[in-house]
Amino acid sequence: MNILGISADFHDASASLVMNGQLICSAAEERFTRIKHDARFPEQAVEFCLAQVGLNAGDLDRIVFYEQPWMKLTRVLTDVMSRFPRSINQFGRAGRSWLTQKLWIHNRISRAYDIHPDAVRFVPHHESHAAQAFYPSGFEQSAILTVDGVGEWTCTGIARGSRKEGITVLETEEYPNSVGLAYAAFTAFLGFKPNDGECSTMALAAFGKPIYADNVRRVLTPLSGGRYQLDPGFFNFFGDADRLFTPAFIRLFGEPRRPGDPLPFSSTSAPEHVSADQQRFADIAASIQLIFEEVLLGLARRAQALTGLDKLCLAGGTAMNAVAITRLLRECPFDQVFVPPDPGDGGAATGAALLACDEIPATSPPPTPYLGRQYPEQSVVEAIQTLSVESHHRLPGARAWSGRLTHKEYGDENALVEVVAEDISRGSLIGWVQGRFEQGPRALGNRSILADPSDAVAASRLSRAVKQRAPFRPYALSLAVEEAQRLIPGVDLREAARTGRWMQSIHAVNEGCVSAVRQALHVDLTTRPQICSPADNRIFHKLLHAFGARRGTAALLNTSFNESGSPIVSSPADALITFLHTDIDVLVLGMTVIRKAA
Amino acid sequence: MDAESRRRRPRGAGIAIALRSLSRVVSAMFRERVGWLLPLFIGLAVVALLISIISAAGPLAPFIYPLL
Amino acid sequence: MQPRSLASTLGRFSEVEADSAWQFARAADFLQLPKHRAAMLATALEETHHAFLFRRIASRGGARHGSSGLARKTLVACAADIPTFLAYSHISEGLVHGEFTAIAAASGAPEVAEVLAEISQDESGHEDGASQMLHEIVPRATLARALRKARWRRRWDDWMYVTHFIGKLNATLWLSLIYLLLGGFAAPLCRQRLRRKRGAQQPQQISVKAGEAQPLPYLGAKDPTA
Repeated sequence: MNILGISADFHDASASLVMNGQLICSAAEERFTRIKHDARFPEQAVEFCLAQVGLNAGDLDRIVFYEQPWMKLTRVLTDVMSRFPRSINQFGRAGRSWLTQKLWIHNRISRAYDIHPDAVRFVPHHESHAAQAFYPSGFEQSAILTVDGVGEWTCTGIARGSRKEGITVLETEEYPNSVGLAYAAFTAFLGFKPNDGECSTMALAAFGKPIYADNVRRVLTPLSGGRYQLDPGFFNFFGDADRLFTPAFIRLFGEPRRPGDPLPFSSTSAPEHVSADQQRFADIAASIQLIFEEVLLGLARRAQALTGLDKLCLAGGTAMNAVAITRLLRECPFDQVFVPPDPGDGGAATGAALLACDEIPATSPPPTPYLGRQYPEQSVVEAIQTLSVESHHRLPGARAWSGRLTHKEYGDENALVEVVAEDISRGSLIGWVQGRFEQGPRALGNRSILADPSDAVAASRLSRAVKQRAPFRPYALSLAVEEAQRLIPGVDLREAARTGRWMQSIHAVNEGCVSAVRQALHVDLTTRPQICSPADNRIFHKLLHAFGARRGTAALLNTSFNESGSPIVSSPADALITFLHTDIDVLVLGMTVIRKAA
Repeated sequence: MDAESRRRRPRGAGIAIALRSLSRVVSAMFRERVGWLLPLFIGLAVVALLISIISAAGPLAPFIYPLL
Repeated sequence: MQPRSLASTLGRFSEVEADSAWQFARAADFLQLPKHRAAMLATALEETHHAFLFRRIASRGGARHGSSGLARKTLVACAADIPTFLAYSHISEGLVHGEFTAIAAASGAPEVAEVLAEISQDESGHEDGASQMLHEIVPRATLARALRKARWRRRWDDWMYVTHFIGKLNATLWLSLIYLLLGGFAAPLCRQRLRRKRGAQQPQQISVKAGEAQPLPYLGAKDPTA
């Protein structure tokens, strides 16, 4: 049975294909359209899914949409009308978008793929999340916690998952009682883009102290028994992205930060001067992070009390908060915690498809994040021989070069990784493209920019002339599994412990190893690692060891292969253009190494 | 009719699907106890109908607006 | 020109340039000769850089990236689309030069004018490049038709842009009317609904057991796939 799952129309449109209960492929539309968080109908992602296994649309048995739009519309109308008469603009915008597009998704899908309307199904949003977390986990039974902004009406869900009995929803919290939206509002207050910049809030928190925790508890109150209560008087969830909070919020926390205003913090050095306002923003970030962790911890304990199970699956956009996940791992009574590679709406298409299966196999292969498309690199490689690049078409700060490229193809993986490891150890920035791209926002060695994690000059160049990244946001670290206990003592290396493998949790680095990996650490000397075994990613594991043989530590600074504001690269052409536009020194496409000629 | 044809979209299904979508919204309103939104939703449905009529006119649309 | 309006316009230009980069990168896959692919990729790079320049100025003026809502519409789905695409690019790049000159003059900001001047020069190069490739790829007999088709396509796109804009205005008018007529009545009930807490729920099973073929409940006729 071939089932296609689709998420679209709100943010992070994606498509996933499940065949006979097995997840075959999945991709976010943004990877193909190059529009970050592209929410439009994922035509190209669907096209990829079908092509990946040689199917036509007529071979699909079901198409499943990840939520129930008619339910969502009732919530949207209720919310907008509750703010009458100030919400006239929002009503117009919402009205146009729903009446021209969102309400007719059933017809759009049926028509686009010439499929009978009864073969198109709709599953509740949080149930998509629950399935996206539970079924790939490999657990026989587990508690499931889904926490996001909002689906139709549900913002938080607790469920029990069982291979034999399926998923049973136990409890939900309804809009506007939303932790995810509260965090997004704080993100907007701190001058970052909501539904995108939450990682910046999380990173900034490390520079502050939670002295505003009581103020945050005033707006988002953890209650006994693992519940919580949001005070909606402080929030305007239907407002524009930069006004998700009310004047009452501003009276409580002070004036918001203007987007683009500088923050002097750096993950690798102490700031020279911090103004009172800048420190206030860091302290507010620390405060919301603390309260969010308290709420999540409370919910997890409640899930454990309700289910009596010792495993937890977590999904919803808030599951990307690695600091909170780490605290959960440390303080919750769960033996294992699973978070899918894309726990947000981008991965909900997977959950929708799995949920619509009549049968899920009792055993499945271990979960993998490498579910995207693999490209042949030949067309790009042939073109670069005649390609000449004008100097002024590069990012400011990118170093001068002749404008021409050289390339060499290696027949042997071992030879390739030796060459690349040598380049990295000499301070080069490497754009690394291999195999199928990853599901979700994290680069796990198939679409990565790599650098020596001890090299401050390389890291600085990476921030300035490649990623245009704020210095307070740390990079992540990829390390070979053989190094894990030495670098990160006490890390859980069990097969099912994925959070450490997929950059989903934070770990303190062994003091004696700090200098070897300093550029991939945060200000508190913690890191968000990818722990790579040969079974996870063979060639990347080889590269880590090749570098380790040169510099003593099989670990690399790993950041996603993209410029600020763009999705992670997908095709060789995307990779080439990003390579040419930035200060990346070497591009590796499969077995071909491309360099900027002097 | 074989399995293949049964799987395909019937001709003229668009209106039936659209009506089904509208009826789902109405059911959802009563299930979520926001039935008082019904008059508003009826107004929106009328607007949706007008928009779809005009969209069908394509490039002639601006000439139809004055009639409405 | 008002700063916010200028920022919004530049933000839209950024998205248009990014779209153009995407179209050229995609089109490169359908060309046979490496030198043509290289030319497409070089153009895609330049458009990427233009998008970056516009985005940088626009964000200083407060515009958020992605706010104009430009959707991707694939112009090149197969090799046969290349001539039309090249012709369309040739014509569009020429037209955009005029638009940029007007904005540069109206902006009143020297930095903006400088960036627009640099980009205009590149666009002029793209116009010539597209024309040259068109002459190399397309037989003379069909060249005039490709250009004519592209011109009409451009006029159609411009008219449909106007149509959509007017449609948006009209829809907003009708929606505002409904809002004002019916909103007052619904508002207090909606506020009350949002304040209401959901009562204790009964556990609800949402998926089938493994191994039993029970379809999920759905509206509509008998499942034709059963």
